Amino acid sequence: MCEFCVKHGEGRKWYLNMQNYSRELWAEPGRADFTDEFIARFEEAGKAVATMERVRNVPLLNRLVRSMVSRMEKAYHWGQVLPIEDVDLVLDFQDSIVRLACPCRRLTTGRDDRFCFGLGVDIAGICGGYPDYSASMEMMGKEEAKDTLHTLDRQGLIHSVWTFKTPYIGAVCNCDRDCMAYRLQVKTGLMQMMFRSEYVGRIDWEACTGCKRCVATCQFGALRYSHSQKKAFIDAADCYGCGVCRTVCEHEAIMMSDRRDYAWLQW
Amino acid sequence: MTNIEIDRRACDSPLDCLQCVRQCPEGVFGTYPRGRRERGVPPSKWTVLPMFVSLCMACMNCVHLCPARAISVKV
Repeated sequence: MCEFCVKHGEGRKWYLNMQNYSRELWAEPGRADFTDEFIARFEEAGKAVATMERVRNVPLLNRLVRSMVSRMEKAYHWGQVLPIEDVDLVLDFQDSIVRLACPCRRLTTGRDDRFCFGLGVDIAGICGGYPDYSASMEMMGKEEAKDTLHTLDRQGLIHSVWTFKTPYIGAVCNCDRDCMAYRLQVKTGLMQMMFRSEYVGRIDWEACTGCKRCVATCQFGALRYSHSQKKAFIDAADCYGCGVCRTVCEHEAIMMSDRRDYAWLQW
Repeated sequence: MTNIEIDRRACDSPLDCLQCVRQCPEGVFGTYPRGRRERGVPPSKWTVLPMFVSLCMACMNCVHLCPARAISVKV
């Protein structure tokens, strides 16, 4: 079990523990203020990144900054990847879901792409205060949100849950290369803030036809192709367990297995 | 690491253009509102900054595409 499930899961996966979405937890001191600042000053993260990039070639300092920032993210705002069936379970807990413009995409592409789903009335209330977010906000019912997320899943977007002052979970995001966490962790390795899911993908070579659809879909470069055997395979060490390869596979050759069964793998 | 500089005076209204942000194959650039975002007020002034400089491959797309010729890349 991952460290977050041990700390915040009460015997379950931490994001399936209803406590972590509760109004009581939201009401703890500092959480609303943090979330408000987060929305108001999100883009300042970009300036901080530019500074981190400047020190990345300074030995030791680079490592010190990486561990400090990662620790801070763990306390305030970090995410975990989850496959679509777990997203459905998370959405089942919610009374109020609001579809939002993704702050990451605004920063990295300058566009209003509504890939984020705020959970609970409080997140919606905070975002509603800022016109460039409220303009494209949309309240959604549970089933509508599920349908939308399944559509995004088929398009190959990676789902993740995000904390607002850990362990409160306030959003489900749909990430790809334009996500700040992806760029910070997967592309540049500047910090760790997006953790791998509780699963790892596995390919059944009896069923795999070598069509390479999964290879084209994987955002993490975990899917490779063997020309000699004409089959795709997953490098478990690179796999984030998002499950989008399984969704695009037309031959049901990909399944998700429990990450805990792979003793050498990390989260 | 490459050094990317943007002339803020030449690039006045980046959200109307965004050529550098969209055409950068590695996603080096970011765009953000100048100053703090205020409740009830949409940010008026935006600016572009080179964010993930270590990803820059010096392809010079941004330099050639910028209509204001505001970007310089030094390797």
